Amino acid sequence: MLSIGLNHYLLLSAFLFATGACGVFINHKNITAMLLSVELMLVSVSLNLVAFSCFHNDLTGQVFAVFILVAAVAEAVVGIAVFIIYFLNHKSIEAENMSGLKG
Amino acid sequence: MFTAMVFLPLLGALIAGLCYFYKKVAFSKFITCFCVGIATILSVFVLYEVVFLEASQVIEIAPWISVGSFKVVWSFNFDVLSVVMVSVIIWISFLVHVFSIGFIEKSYTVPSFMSYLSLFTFFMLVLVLSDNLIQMFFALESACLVSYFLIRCGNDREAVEKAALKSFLINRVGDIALIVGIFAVYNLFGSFNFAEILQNAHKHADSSITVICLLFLVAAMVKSAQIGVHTWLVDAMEAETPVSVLVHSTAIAGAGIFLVARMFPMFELSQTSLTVMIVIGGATAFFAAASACVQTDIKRVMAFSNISQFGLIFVAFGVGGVRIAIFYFIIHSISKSLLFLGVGSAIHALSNEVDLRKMGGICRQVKLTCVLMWVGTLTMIGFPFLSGYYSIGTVMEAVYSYKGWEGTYSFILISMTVFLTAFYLGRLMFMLFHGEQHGDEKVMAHVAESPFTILFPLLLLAVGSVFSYCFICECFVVDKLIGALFFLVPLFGIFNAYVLYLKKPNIPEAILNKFKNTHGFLLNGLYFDKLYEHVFIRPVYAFGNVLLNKVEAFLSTDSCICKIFAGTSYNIRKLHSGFVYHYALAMIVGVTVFVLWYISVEVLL
Repeated sequence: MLSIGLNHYLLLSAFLFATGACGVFINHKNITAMLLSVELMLVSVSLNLVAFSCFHNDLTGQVFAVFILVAAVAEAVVGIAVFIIYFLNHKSIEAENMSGLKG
Repeated sequence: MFTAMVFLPLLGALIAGLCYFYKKVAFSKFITCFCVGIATILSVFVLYEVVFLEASQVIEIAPWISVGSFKVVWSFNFDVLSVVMVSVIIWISFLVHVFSIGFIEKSYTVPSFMSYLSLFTFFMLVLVLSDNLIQMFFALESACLVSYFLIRCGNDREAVEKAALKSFLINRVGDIALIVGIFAVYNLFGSFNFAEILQNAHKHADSSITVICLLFLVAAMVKSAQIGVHTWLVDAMEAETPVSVLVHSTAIAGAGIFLVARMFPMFELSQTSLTVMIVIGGATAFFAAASACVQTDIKRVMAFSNISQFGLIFVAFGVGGVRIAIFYFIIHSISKSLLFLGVGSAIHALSNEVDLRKMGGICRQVKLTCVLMWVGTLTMIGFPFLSGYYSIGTVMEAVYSYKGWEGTYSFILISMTVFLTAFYLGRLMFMLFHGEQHGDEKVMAHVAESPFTILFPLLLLAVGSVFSYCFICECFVVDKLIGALFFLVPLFGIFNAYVLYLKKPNIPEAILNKFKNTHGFLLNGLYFDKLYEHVFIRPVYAFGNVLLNKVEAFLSTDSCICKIFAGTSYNIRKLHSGFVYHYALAMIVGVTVFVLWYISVEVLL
């Protein structure tokens, strides 16, 4: 019987993080999907924290994870609000058209 | 009570500062005098408690810096030295406040002037009460800054601004020495606390102690305007008279004295620094006294007199130690403030005339000022049984009994200084009050005794300068031989002045014409200003001109540097694609590289 240890959690978290990162870099079209990918990365980090907190018998990590979740929610709200305003102004939220920062 | 005494002047300064915005001139005068007055009364109790009941104490106000083992605390150290300095500063500050009420004419800057005076007093109190070097440095810098404001206050003539800037800049030279000295102390002792430093001073090598002492000595020299760096104090006489009295004859110069007094147990360990102190102090005392004899601006006479007296105090430190020097400093502050405020009163009576040659013969109109100033003069020159007799006598005795060539050197110079002091003070008195009237008729018609607020400080100071020695130390006994000598020398000096300036006024001019070079040399303060102009100011201007005309001209035209910048920025611009995911990728790659680098360093080492 295989018991689930710290390593498994870390592997899962790394996989989730890599997925999120790829979602941000490879996806050139959908800005909403990029936001979701960022959320995924945050969740993976929280998972890391919770896993370590169980491993060390220290509640701080879990408390911190809750804070991260709250921050992630707030960030998603702000992000979506920005997209809506952007859509109202530009009639599109294609990521490839957003290059106002070009030097 | 102890803390209230220190913070009352600050309170007064803040309220007077607010008065500036509401244009309440009279109230600002009242509130600053009131606060400083209360503080003065408290200082008497503090003096009694600390000196006579021997209840020294350290009061911690608040923590300041606390980084690991590096700790600095705001605290007030009430011991005999600091309390004596506090008493001197706060009394003179109070009298100067009262004096300013009558002296400063109605103008829109009065509230800020009074506010600066009080603020300056506060910083001086913090300075002398500090028990660590950092707090002392902070207070010293603040006091210098406020003194800069004080010099400029209410006066926008170009000469005043230049003088203010000059005193500020020259003081920075000393501060660099001071801050390097503080670093050296921390490096050697690991502490800024005076008590700890002085306790452990004897455990360290002579050479390092000597270096630290010399650095502190340079700082004290600049503050006390010793020879070579005295130029700031002479020019600072452009300020209003009350400022000159408080800032330039008592406080800032006293800060230098205090610095040496505080660190004196360390100076005692280094014979070199004591010798340097004696040599510089002696030279300063003599040359400044000689310069004072030829000045025609009455305030410059006082400035050189200050410098000369501070040189004497340095000699007193070198030959006799803290007690004698501080005793001398106290008596000097009282009698010099009396003289200086008297000069202010005379200037006030003469409608701001400062040229000695246009004065004279006003003793009938300003009898009280004249009498009080004679008291001050006699004290300063050490007339028997006035305070000055005892202070000069003790210094002379210490000098006389000091072994080695330093003793002989300083004995000769100080004897001549005492003679010259009597001479130039006599000259000042005779030219100011006696003889014929030289002023124009308009000014002379308005000569009248000053108001009560100006005379009250003079009266108090006159009483102080006659009797103050009774309260300070009865243990000073003047040697009979020295006493006789220093009874005769000042009298001879004043007699000379009487003959030259009252009986035979044509002799000084004849002497002047014969020794034109010496006269110019002394009149211009030994040409140190010229020296600095040629050594420092002109090269800096020349260097600036080269930068402006050659280097900048080269850079700003179509040279290679312009092209390099343009080309580089054109290429770097391409990195900014404007796509969010490019930036995110760069971020992730960067973080990864840093993490890998960190891990590899951790693993490899």
